[in-house]
Amino acid sequence: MMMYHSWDSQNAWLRQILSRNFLYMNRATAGASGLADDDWVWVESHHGRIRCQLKTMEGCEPHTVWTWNAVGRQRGTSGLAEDASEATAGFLLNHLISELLPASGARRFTNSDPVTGQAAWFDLRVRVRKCAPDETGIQPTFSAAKRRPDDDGSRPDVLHWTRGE
Amino acid sequence: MSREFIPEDRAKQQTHYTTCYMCACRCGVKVTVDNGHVRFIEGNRSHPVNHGVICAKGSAGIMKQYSPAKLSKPLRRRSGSERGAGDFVEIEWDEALDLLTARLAKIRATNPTQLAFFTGRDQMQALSGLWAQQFGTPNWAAHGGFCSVNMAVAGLYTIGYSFWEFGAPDWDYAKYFMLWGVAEDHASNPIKIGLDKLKRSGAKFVSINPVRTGYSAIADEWIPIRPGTDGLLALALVHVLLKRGLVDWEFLIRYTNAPWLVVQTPGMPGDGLFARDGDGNPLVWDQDAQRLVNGTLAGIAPALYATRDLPDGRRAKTVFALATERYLDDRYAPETLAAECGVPAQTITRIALEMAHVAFNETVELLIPWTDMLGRTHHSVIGRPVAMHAMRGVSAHSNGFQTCRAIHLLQMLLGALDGPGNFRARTPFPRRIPMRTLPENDPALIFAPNTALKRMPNGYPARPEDLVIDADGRPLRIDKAYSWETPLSAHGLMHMVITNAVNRDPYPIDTLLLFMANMAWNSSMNTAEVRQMLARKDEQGDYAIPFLVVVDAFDSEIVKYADLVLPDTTYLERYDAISLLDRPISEPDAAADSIRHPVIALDRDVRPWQDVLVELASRLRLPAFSRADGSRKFKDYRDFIVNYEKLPGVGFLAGWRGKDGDKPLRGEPNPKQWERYIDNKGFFAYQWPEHMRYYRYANKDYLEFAEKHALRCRSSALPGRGCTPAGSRRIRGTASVSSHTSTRCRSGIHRSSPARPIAPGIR
Repeated sequence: MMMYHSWDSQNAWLRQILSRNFLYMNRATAGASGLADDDWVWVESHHGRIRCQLKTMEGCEPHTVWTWNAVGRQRGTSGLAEDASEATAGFLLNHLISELLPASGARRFTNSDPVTGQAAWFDLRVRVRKCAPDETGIQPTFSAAKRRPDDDGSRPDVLHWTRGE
Repeated sequence: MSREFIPEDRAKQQTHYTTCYMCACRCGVKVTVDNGHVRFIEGNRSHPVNHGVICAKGSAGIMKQYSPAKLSKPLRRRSGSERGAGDFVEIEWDEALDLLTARLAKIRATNPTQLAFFTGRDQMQALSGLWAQQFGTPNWAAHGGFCSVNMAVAGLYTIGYSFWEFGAPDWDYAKYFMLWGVAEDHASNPIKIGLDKLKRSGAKFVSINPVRTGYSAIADEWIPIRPGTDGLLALALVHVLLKRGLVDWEFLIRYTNAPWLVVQTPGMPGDGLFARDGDGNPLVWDQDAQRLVNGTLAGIAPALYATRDLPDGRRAKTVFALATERYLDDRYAPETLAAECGVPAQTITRIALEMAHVAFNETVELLIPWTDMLGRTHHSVIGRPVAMHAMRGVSAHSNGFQTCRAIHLLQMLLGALDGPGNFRARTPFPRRIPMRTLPENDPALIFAPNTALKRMPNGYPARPEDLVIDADGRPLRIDKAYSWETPLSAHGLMHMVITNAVNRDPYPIDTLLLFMANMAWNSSMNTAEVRQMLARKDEQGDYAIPFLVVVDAFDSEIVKYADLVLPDTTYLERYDAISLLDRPISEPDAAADSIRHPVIALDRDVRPWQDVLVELASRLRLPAFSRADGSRKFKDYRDFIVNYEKLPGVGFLAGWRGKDGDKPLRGEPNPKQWERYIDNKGFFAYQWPEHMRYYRYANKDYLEFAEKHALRCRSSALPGRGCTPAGSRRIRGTASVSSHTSTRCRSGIHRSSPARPIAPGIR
């Protein structure tokens, strides 16, 4: 929750708490599937697949995987250095979720609550597979965004904060 | 390496009180400024939301101010460059506003639906919604559709208030607290303060969540439920309560529509609707008179269980009879649902019995006399101290609406709503059920050039006639909100706008205006393809969405796709009204609103989006922002907030109204209103007297006061509406609980432990 609702500024102090995300999974479930901390995994849905890194935990329902929203960023955005861990290791689950349900006859309905239109983010079923040894790094990736003309490009490693400055 | 310690010269520092914007809570903060820079940020100890508590995010607001991601100049996509390449040229504000005004004026003069205006973490939806209505487009919504509209709509259609902003657990009296699903930022510090109180008082905190993070870490019991099955769990709890008769019968009869008769004509028109008399009043079966009567009258004895034939021969059953039939079925037995929920049957049964024990055997009685809608006084308020809270976790599923309804049904069965220790309402809620605000759906208005809508784009339909569809049933909105596909989509479907616009389904648009929403990244499903859609061109080489405007204070993935970027200020650099017309910060015991005001000066070429909205509205001569001669009515946002009146005496800020500032809640504009807020540390709170704090859906003094001050619609229903709000029902609870249940009960229900009377004074 440290970045939740505070993503926009890529806040230097909050980034020190968390600057990349993992896919989190119940430890016993992971063990039974031959998965362990820091493994690279493919996460596959009806809509697509992503590659990311795994962490296990005990406080997770055995059939559930989850991650933090919006920690991963496109390289070159949000005032971050191009090698920022948000861009090199952080990832989105959004690629796995379709805004449309699979076709039903000629129509595709919204992936939402049929009464209220609420986006059904949390209804996704996924398969988690261990990657081959040579498969590392997040997928998908996007090319680095171009720097804006009003951006001086300064990406300080240390952001000093002293009074009156 | 030692550094000389230089004490700070406090005399050179200034402190300002304003409102946080690091998450959605809107805590009061105290900002210390040194030489024009933020020195540190603390909590405002007198603020009704956080009482001085501040979190890591709130105090880190400093680094928001000094973020390298800040935008600093209006930008236009370079001519000839591809959208999404992020190739921009800096432009001046005059050029940006001229360009946008010309485009918007043309749209408004031809087909206003060609503008889609959607906002993300917008804390001024009352203004952006008004702007869209005045512009004349139905294609407006904030981000609620991809956030937690299920929670909001289920609450508003079921109990008249809802989790998160429109209600809050009563942390002072609750003895049993159930947190359903992830809710960490809604609200943050208030829930932390509340959980601390629960821990100190010895209350039990049960967390139902697939993941034990956040607040669940300190729960007394963590129930690791399988995602999306919370509704089943709630209904299994309902099953146990019904089966054992652990129900607040009198509460159901007095304050709910449980005794109303529902027409039973399967496959025929009218099936499932309330049985009504010729005047549209709901019918109940009067046990004493042994006849059908208007359920809103005083002096009747409604049966909770009844099956009766109506005068026209149709069969009707009470709501409660139907609910009981359904939920007593073995389908909802804990043993049946345990595997689906991943929760052992014994645990489900135990939780139900714990809740019932606290509700009925650890009742809270406060010696506060109050008057109900019948005008009768009670010498105390009785609380069944079970409180619940839910938010995104249960909402963001395709069954979330029904899940939230089930959680509210559970609270109703326990009589645990807006009493001491319950989930309590926050002004201006509870509202009427359903709310009296309908979405604009008149095609003649929606497509009319240069014409404001009469109603707001968003509202709360109650009948098929209220849907926003054309004569052939096709959606009139770009997000297809209020169509048959999603009829009660009261917050719109922002997550569908780009896909629908690119597919020209139901129609193409010209301009998409996004505020504070990263639709090219984490706020869209199917992110990679949505990015392609944003850059998609048709056969003629024109973009499928011809013009994309992005308004934000910070750089992000969506900024790269903009044709025009309008840079906003940070929350420490501008005025804001956190309004009762919008997403209020009221607490259960006080109506409240608050402000932001600039505590540091701007150091770059950005403008507050609110000012830009008022400027655009003035240039476009939108009626609410213009005088009869077309000249502008408001100088800027600050002026708008002071002088705009939604109704006579009702504006965005409720504090210090009246020209001398002596009229709370309602009164003519006060030119010094901002100053009064600033003097009062950034907020206004109107404390409810004790007798107006509880059961507000049925509290005569509260309801009359709220109507008088326009915090709630007046009693007169809309034309064509037969719905009767719970708050105006006239039901007298003369019969004892047992006389209802023993004579009307279906077999299989045990009534060995009837609920205690709510308040002896009622009887």
